[in-house]
Formats: sequence, C-alpha cells, structure tokens
Amino acid sequence: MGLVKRTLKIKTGVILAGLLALNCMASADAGNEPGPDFKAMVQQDIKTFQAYYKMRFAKVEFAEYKNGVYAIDSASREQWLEMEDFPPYEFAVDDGEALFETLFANGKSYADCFANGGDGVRQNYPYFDSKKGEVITLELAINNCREANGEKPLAYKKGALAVLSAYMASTSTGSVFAVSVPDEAAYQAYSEGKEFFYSKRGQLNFSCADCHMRVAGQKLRADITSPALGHPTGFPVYRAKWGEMGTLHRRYAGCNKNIRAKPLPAQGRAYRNLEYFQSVMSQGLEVNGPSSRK
Amino acid sequence: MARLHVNKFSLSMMTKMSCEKPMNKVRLLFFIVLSITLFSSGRLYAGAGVKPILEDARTTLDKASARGFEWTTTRKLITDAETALAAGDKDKSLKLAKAALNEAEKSLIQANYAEAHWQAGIPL
Repeated sequence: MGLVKRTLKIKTGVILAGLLALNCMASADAGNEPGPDFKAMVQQDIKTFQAYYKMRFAKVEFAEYKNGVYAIDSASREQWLEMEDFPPYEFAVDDGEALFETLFANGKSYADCFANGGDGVRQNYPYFDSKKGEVITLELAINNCREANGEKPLAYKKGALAVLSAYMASTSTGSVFAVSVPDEAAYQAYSEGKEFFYSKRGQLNFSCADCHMRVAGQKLRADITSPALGHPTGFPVYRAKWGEMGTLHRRYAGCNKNIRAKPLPAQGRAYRNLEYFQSVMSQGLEVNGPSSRK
Repeated sequence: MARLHVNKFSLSMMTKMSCEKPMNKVRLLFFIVLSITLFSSGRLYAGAGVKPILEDARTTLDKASARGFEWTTTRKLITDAETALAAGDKDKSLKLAKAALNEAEKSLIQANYAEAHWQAGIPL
C-alpha cells in the first residue's frame, strides 16, 4: 500500500510540474505576442476617413480641403476669394509678430520655448507628449511657455493668444501636417477624440460627424456645412460672424452651442483630443492658417 | 324588462337613502374640515414636491455634465423653477422642475448611449 501511495504521489507531482511548466511557457509566449498595431490602425482610419470625402465630393482635389467649405461650394468660394484680396487677418498676423518678439519680464521670449525659434512649427501641433501623457496644442504650448517664464496665461479663445497663434501659423504656410500617434497612450487620446467626434450630444442630438460628414455640403438653415477633413489647417481664423480672430476651440464651443450642448472648456482634455483626432485625419494637407471664414 | 329592473333598483336605493338619518351638524362640520385639510395638504405637497424634483434634476444634470453631455437649456430651467418657487408660483415651479428633470435624464441617457454606441455614428 505504501509503495502504491508513494507512486501516486510521484505521478501527481510530475503532472503538476508538467502543467506548471506548460503554464509558464504559455505566459512567456503571450508576453512575446505583438500588441495591437496602433500605427496601422490609425493609418486605416485616415485612409477610410479621407476616402469618404473622395466618394462624397469626387471632383474636389484632396489639397483643396484645407479651404474648408470653400473647397466644396463654388458660390461661397467666389466671395471668399474676393475677401482674400484684402485678408482680414493680416493685422492679426502683424500684431502677433509684435507680441511674439516682445520679451518676457525675465528677458526670454517665445522663441526660446519652441523648436526652430517657433518659426514654421505649426504643422507639428498638436502632438502627444508622452512624459506628460497629454495632447499639446499650439495654443497650450504658447501658454505653457508664458507660465514657464513667469507670465500669466492668456485667454484661449480670442485676443492675444489668437493673434500669436495666427503669426506662428503664418510662418508655416505650405508645410504639410505631420501629426502622428506614436504609442498606446497617444492612441488612447486619439481614440477619445474620435469618440467625441462621432458621439451625438446636445438637445439636438447631433455629432460632429452628422454635420461635417453626413450632411457636409448641404444647408443647415442658411449655412452650408464644411467637410471635417481639413478643419484644423486654417486656424486660427478671422470669422465675419465674430468680427475678429478666434481659435479652433472657440469654434468648437460655437458648434456645441449650435446643437444646444454646453461647450466644454477651451484647451480642456476633450477639445484637445478632438483637435488631435481631427489633425491626424487631416494628415497630408497643408497649413494655411490664419485664414478667413464666414 | 331590463329597464324595469333598473327602475326598481333605483327606487329601492332612493327609499333606503330617504330612510337614513339626516346628517347632523357635527358630521357636517367634520366633513367640511376634512375637505379643507385635504385640499390644503395637497397644496402643501405640491410646494414641497418641487424641491426633491429640483434636487434630483441637479444631481442628474451634474452626472451628465461630468461626462460632457450637459445641454444648454437645462440649468436655465432649474434656475427658472427656483425663481418661480421663491415667488410663490408653485404650479409654474413644479412644471419647470419636471421639465428640468426630464432634460437632465435625457442628457444622461444620451451620454450612456454615446458611450455604448458611438461607433454606430461612423458613416463609413
């Protein structure tokens, strides 16, 4: 009996050890499995997003989408081209340049905070800062620069920040948007922006995609809705309705109000992630900000 | 025949009622006081009912707001309901409070729906 028991114990031990080894091997194998290919997923999104507009507006050249609604509506485009003879944002660019060159109290300037002295960098914004774990837009970077140099941050929707951003964008005219999604954390931010873009909200129950994809080019009251492709390229803009310059986040807030959704804070996480998603979707388009809109 | 039966029944009821003792003064007073009490308590309840509804509307709206789904119209309804209540217009206040709660609940439903089904909004 004793021998049988001992044999059974040995057998059980061998089986357990075998199972344990198998488990370890499986775990090790799982560890070596490649995770989701975020870059490929984003590339697929870009491809399908841009293909949608190609299907909707077959005659519109891809490069034209940087001009917003003027890419798809010829009547509005004519008026806009006439307005561009004397661009209403020109003074803003001059004011922005003057502000940009004004030294902070500590003797430093905006140029000290940006790559290439802040010249021709607009196409790299927004980007995902892996250390901070958040999306950094150009306007946020400007205010971060101010605060790092002991200055008070500027209001995000209009005024001094809009003209500074306008000047910086003007130095990047013609550069192609190069916003990437480098890692998993960046993909998370990108996905949040994507979710925002496709989520219905407000009392009217509209999403960004409802107006700027599904019914882009059609009339909502007296306005023709612009395609979402290329939305960020021309910002900040001089808008006739505002009678002044405004940032992209000011426009986001206006859009949200139109559908009776309470606007979220400018440069808050939600709008920055939305800008990130929209900028990634606009990959390949040229920076043409500042510009003018109705 | 049926009609005849009904008439007979009505007659019998009338006879029974007429046989009852007339309502005395104490009873009459009791019923008057009871009616007044019920009426006033109903009015009181209407006023007291606004505050829990408003509280509920505020809580629900805050939940929707935290998720970025607040509507521009709801907080104004709450403020208007509070103003009406302060002015003593309980009916108006109750109506506005109910409308606010309705909107707040809808905005929260919208947030939940968006979280679960936002991908259905991709027109591709």
